[in-house]
Amino acid sequence: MKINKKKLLLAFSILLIASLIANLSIGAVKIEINEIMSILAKNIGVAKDPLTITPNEVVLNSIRLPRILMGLIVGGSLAVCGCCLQALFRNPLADPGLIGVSAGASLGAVIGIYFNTFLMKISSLQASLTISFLAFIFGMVISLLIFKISTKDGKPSVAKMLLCGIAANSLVGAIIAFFTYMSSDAKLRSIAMWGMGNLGESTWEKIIICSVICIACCIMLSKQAKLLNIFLLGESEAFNLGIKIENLKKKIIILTSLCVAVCVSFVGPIGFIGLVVPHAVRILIGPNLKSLIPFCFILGSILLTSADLVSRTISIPSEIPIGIITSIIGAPVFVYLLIREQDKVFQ
Amino acid sequence: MTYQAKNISFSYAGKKILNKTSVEIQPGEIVTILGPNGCGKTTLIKILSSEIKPDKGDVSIGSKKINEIKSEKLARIRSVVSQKTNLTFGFSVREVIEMGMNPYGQKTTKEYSEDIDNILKEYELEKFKNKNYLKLSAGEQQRVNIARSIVQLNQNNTNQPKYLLMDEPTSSLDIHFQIKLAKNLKKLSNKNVGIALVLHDINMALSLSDRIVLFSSKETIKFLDKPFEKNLPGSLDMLEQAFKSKFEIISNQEKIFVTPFFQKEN
Repeated sequence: MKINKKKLLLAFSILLIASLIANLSIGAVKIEINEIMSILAKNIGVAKDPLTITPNEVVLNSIRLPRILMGLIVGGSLAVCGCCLQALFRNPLADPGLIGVSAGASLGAVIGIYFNTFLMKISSLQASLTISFLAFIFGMVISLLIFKISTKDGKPSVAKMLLCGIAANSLVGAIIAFFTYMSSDAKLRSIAMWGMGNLGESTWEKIIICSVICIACCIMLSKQAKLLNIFLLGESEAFNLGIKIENLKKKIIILTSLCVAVCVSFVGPIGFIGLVVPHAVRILIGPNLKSLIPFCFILGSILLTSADLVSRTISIPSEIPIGIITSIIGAPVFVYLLIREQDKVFQ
Repeated sequence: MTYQAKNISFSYAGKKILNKTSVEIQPGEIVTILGPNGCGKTTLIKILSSEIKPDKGDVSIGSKKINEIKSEKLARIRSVVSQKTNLTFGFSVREVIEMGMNPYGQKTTKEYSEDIDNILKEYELEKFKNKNYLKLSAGEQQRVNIARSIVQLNQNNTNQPKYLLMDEPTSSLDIHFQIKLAKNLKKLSNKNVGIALVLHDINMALSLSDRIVLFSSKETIKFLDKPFEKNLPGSLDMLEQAFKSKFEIISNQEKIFVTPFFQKEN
């Protein structure tokens, strides 16, 4: 079922724009499209009345726009990282959770929340940034540790990494469970909420940090597409075709770890995007990473922003954590894809 | 510029695989490696291609040691057909063949496109070109792999000698494609490409090769030079020892054939 790429790009673009407009307009406060356009025009300096600030403008600029942008970047980045890791592990079931980044980041965040007496004294933005920072550091440390353990004589073993990742996920899970068990009810709730993922705390500061790092990583990953394609022939063939395979592996692991660590540290672990999106796109356009990577970014963005829309609107005024939505949508879609295209997915 | 492996020793998991083995391939020469299962033929090909490093000994091309040659440059001088390719996702046949272009950077010239079309035609893969590689039969996949390795060398337009290392390239091919491959290898060798290949078909080795490297065991290696009809009879013992079978030699003027000698069980 290969689809014309131009048509697919058009379809994806329409879906993305529809998702963006819906996200800007729908919510606890409904904002009409005309008003959205005039607020956006005002933001870029083409407006009649720059001095009056309407409540809807505040909702749009301080809440919805940052959230949408975060959704675009994180959704796209997780999908791209999932796609590259599936190529690196040469395994269709690999996802960003496997290299220990998500687990490490969760541990960092839980530690941050657990020892938050210091955090109580600073502003909520600073506290939230500190938790993100800890999550980032732990995410990187755990994934690099796994990388180090799996590397012998300068050669990272992909199979060992996969197994170490599983072990690390289990160990970190136990430590998190320990902290959860020791926590007070309030902290328990924060830890549980963090673990379900949330785009609601996106601020412009976070978006700038996240977009710079993630977009840089995604661009650098997309430059490895051709080499990763050849890597899919197997390590021996890739070597025989002139690829420095150890360098390639290191690059992919470092870039994906960095990118996923940043995403998870800002929005919490969000499941299934990194696993499902590459599969879906691969079924649509084939396995060539040169086009798979950009299409994954777009579909990841569409899915995460749409999931966020559902999470915000399904039980207004409260919000359901986005991780729940991505898993509820992702798991059945994944099973559907597996059943429908099983020979393609497994070959 | 000779492709040379000198005094190679290699052990794996405490087992000696190769012991002070030396092989050389001259530009334009076809060298066949014959031997029983597990005698180290594949290891030798992998050491020659520089995929694995020997414990002792050196591999060199011309005056340069192979590990001193940059990986991309090496990939322009020698290409390898492995016994098996483990492609993970279903790329099309054309995409897999195009991967042979990797050592030459980004090129989408008309010339290059024609080269791919020619090779598709040559190996009768045209009708499969947009098909999923993983859905092909083993023989068809092997033709794709051979085509890819030839594209890899074809793109090198310089006059320097090139080398093709092949590990059992005929194992899944039918007779038609075995003959076709043999003819193509002869053509390549006439263009100064040195070829080292592992075969199990002794007669194909006799008709195709300029030299045969016969592994009797890990320790004993014999080099058979042309004319085989003169040199083989003296090595029949070794051949029989290697394959633990009796052979019969049939000479027909300039040609020589070897057939296994089946004894009827009473």
